[in-house]
Amino acid sequence: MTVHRSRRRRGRTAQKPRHGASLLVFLCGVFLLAVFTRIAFPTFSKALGDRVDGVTNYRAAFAAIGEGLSGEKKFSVAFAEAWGLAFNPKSPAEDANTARPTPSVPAFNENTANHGDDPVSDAAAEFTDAVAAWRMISPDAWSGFGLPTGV
Amino acid sequence: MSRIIAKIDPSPTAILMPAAMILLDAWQLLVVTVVAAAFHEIGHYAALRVSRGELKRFKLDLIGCSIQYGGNMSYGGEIFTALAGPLMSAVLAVAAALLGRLTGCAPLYQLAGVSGALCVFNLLPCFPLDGGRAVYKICAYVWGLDVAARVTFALRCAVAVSLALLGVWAVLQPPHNPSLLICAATVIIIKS
Repeated sequence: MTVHRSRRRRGRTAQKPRHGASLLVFLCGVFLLAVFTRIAFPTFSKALGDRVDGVTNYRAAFAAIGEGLSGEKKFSVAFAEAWGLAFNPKSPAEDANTARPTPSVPAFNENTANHGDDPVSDAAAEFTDAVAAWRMISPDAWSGFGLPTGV
Repeated sequence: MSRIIAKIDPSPTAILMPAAMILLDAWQLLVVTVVAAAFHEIGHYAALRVSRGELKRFKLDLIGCSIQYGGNMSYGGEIFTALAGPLMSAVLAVAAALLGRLTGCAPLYQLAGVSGALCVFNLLPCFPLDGGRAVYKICAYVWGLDVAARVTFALRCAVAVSLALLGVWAVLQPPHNPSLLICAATVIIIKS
């Protein structure tokens, strides 16, 4: 009986650490994927962030509260501004008071002329540019080595 | 320091919010949030040491971080420990705001705003948030544990219903922001 009980206990306790470890590995993978996406496709990340800002602009709302606390504005005015930004934000281009973060570093070989209104096509263009850069099929990349273009 | 680090207990889901903020190009807000949360918890820990309490676990999960403590603390010590976090957040908010005004540095305004919001949210009289803990200890001291449990349960329901009604109002009108509903859900599901 003692052996049977201890075997059961061993089986139960062995499953919990495995389940926790696999969940941790999966979520670390999700985190690394998010970091990779942000670094490799900053335009896509920015477009996603702008879409969320269109629903609720927390960055500007918190900055407005900070301005109210500093005495730069009346706190009631700052709170009303923060409420409006959180629950009825303007678009980022129109709002000159938003405390936007520093501009993101452009990806290698990012074609900045291709920015349109559709973030999905921007992301696709960015991905294509990134692949082209990795394969180094740009003529400019090879011209200095004396090799024929299009190789 | 190593003893404190050994008591940190991160849940795997703690990674999700930072991942989402990085993906949405909000890494600056993530840094500001981490700094504000760190100061908040330092306030709790400092008060715990002063009150001769014992840190049992420092838990990190999807909705934030929390300190679990024990030891032979007086009611006053427990109330002080509970309120020390929001107090530290309030001090940081004012300091960051004034520094932001002096230097013109925009992230300092964001730090002030996040810290202020953290202070106000944690002061909600809703157990197990800091305000709720303080109310529970005060009621327990004055009327006993049974009355304290009933009062905090009633307050938690009131706060959850108020946030839910506000949240429904916010969702029904453009731009259909679900933040307050998420806050209401957090208040309902958060465990002590």
